[in-house]
Amino acid sequence: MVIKENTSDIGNGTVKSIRKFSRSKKKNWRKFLSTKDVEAKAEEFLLENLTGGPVSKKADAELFVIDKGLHRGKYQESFLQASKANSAKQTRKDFRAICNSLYCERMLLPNPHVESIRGREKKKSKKFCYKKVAQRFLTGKQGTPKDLWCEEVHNANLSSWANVNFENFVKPAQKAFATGKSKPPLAKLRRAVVPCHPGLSCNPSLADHGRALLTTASQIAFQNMNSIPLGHQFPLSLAKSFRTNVSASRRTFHKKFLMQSNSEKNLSLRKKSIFQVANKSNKVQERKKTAQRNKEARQRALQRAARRKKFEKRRSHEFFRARKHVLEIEKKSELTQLAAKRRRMKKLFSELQPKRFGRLKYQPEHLDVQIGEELSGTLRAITPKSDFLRERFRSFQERNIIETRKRNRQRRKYKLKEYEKRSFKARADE
Amino acid sequence: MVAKRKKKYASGEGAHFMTRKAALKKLQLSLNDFRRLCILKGIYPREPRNRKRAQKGQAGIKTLYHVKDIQFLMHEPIIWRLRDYKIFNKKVGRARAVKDFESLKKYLNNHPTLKLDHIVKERYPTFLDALRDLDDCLTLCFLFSTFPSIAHVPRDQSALCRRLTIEFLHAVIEAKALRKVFVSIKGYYYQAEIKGETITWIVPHHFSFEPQSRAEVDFKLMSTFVEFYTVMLGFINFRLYHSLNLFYPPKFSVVSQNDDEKSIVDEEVFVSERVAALNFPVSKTSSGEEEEEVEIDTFSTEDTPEKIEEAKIEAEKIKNLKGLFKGLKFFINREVPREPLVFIIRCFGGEVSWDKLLFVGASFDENDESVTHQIADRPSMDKQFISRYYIQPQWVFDSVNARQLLPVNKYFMGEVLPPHLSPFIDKSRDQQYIPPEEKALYDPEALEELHKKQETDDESEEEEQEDEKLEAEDSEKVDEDEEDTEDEEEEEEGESTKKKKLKVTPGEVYKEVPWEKSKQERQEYKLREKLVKNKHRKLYKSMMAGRQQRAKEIWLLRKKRRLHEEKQKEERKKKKKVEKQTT
Repeated sequence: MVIKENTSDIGNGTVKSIRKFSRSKKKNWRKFLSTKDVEAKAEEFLLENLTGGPVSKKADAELFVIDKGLHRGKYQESFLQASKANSAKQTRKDFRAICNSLYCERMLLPNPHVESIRGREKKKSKKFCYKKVAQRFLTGKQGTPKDLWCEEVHNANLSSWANVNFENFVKPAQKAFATGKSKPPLAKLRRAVVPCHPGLSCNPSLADHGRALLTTASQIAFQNMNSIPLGHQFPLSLAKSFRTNVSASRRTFHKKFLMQSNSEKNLSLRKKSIFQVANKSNKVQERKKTAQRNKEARQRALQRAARRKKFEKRRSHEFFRARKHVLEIEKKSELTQLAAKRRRMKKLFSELQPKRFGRLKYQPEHLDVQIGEELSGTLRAITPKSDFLRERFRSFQERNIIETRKRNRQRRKYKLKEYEKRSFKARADE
Repeated sequence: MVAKRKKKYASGEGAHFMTRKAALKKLQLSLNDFRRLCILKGIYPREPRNRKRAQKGQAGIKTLYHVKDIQFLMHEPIIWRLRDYKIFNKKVGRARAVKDFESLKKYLNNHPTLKLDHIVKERYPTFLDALRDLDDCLTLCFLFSTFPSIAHVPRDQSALCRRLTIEFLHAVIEAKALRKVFVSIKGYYYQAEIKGETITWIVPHHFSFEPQSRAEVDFKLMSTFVEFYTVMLGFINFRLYHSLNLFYPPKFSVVSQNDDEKSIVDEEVFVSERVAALNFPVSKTSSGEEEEEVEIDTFSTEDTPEKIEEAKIEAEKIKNLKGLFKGLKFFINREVPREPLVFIIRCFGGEVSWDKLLFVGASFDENDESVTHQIADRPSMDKQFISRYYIQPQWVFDSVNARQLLPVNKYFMGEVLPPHLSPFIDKSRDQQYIPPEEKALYDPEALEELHKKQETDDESEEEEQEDEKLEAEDSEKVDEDEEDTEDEEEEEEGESTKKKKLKVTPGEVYKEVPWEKSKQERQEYKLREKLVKNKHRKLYKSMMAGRQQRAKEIWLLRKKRRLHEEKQKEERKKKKKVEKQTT
């Protein structure tokens, strides 16, 4: 096969003419040749060399990263030991890379054990039963119990992917408080179960019972006071009127006596100012003499010098006043710290109070104390006094976990019925 | 070019808060679903500083949520489940209306279920966080375990609550974590210490269920809380059991000899009943390992040697408390509430049993001679054994709170019991009225004084009568003695004057007039009061007013106590007189 090239045509984009057949017919066998296989093989060879070799010839360790229980933080020691054994200096970067790669690979691979939530998978679910649900969440699908807060990876054989328990590799906990701050919500600072008043004991002492009765009585009295309109509250109204009278008398006193004196003062001041203005105008007319001017300048200079001297003397003596200043600063800092603490406590106290999330306010309840006749003294004779469920519900409202709301009553919507009167009908027929 | 005008409420509080209606619109959920989601995720409504800005100028008071909280909710996979529920309900309703029972059955069999594990992990990243929130969880679970089947509370939920709470009690028994007990009219208050966290919960008394009006309590809301708490408690139980090397779910290997059941109907029921009895020790995974005694570390710090000593004393007390009822055997009568007493006695190392007809799990009989204490709440019993004490149940609770075995004489059957005092009082407060019985609990000397006082009150009446007789005789002798003493004093004075002249005598003792001293102190105090600045005067006044009020309360209580004791004295006198007259 001879290949002739038209050199003139090179670069013009024309196709090279190839003579397929030889004249001597000696090498006709070439026409039956095809180099496609060879070319393909060559390409393959090139690719393999570029990509690093054929996959079948490679060891498992080169292709896959085998998880031998390395976890950041916990198994760093084992990693270091392993690195020492390998006698290769593996840096922290390498460690992190391994951990990260493992984690990513884990999350990316399809997990046959995890249920897809969004998909419309129709599984053959059993009859809905809380017991079985409880069993299911406590025991995993594989039948082994589940520890939600486990930090260690199960020491299972991890030679194959099938044995890897994906359920143990829980996602890192998201921020429980979405506002971005690490502090827990203030609802958690209040105790959920507050120890009750000692007067609520099944067999209380006289003092405790008396104290409980007093507190409830005062609470009820306070509630009743608030419910009574102001005009009818005898002591308060008196006090208010007293206050207003006093303030009124003060105002009148101020008006009558102080203002008059002030007015007199004002008069005198006005007079002074008038004369001053008059004098000033007279001064402006006179011109100063040079001697007088120089004298004034000298006086001013002396005053300046005296002031400067005083200032420097005071400054030099500041060193001896340092202790006094330090004491003053310490006192002030104590007071400011106290004030800051007081503000913080006040703020915390106000934030822990039951808040208003809706139209209704939380109404605190008074203690449920038994009267002396109801006191049993023994467990056998105890009578149920307080409503436990209601208390728990109310405590949720008090701790600002749920808002206080009134259940919407179902109002009946009456349908408008239309009918014709008989008399109207009769008239229409006529 | 006109500058862009800044929109109102686009920044600041207006941008940080969102009304509930807006949140519902954003999440595309109904109000009930939204409420349920918020409860499960732990999202609470917030009160802004400036309501007008937060509500974007709208009038009224609206429920507001943080925008970030709602955005956090948007990525919750449970929302899809809730939507699936909605679709499921629609399908079921339609099938029912159309009377397509086959498809209805299919739908009911393939209903969507909620999984809350990831929420528990999200809300409580560590085990300690979950323990801190265990108070509410336990209280609600104990409450719901007593409920019958109601509209929003299915029977299985209450059964699950019951199972989980009993498992938790077993864990507390094995860990010996119980510290305080208080019996109130509401129920039993327990306080335990687990992993350094104090957990307080209430178990209501076993009374019949009282139906609630819808206006007072939202049952659906509470059942949502319980739904979450059951999941949480399950995980906590699992972790606790594993930390204590116990099998979970609990297993027991010891079967009592009194179980004469010929045929066991259901193994699960058998096991669950015996677990509920709280009388059988749960089997452990690792055998033969006892608790290692943890020694308190002593660091060489000169500043806090007292605190270290206090901590050591406290640790010793707790160590003694854990074995408070060790070696004692209790038998509980029928009329006494079984469960709380069994729990408490077993927590502190005691053995307990009851009448086998009452409940499953009785380990020994009433006739067992090794029984040391029998707990009875009756005025009297016909048949009594000499080898045991018959006491009222309050003895157990009071002994636990006092951290020692109290004398049994005051708790016998028919006796008027001493008051059951609360162990939750804050001792750090100075101004607090402490009844003498409580003082006696903490100071053994005060106890002796109390006893002595009671004895002397009885004896004083008899002595008064005798004294009257003796006074008449003594008055004659006294006159004679007075004359002798006067002569002796005169002689001594003469000698002392001579001595004074010759020798250097020590300084004379200045007799302080107490009223003058107090007067001066009062004046100084008033001066100091006047030095208080105007800024702090109000605070100072309120502090002093509070102190005076508390002091007044204490004085009132003391007065009441004094009057009460005097009354009792008079009554006793009258009784004795009547008895004397009759004899």
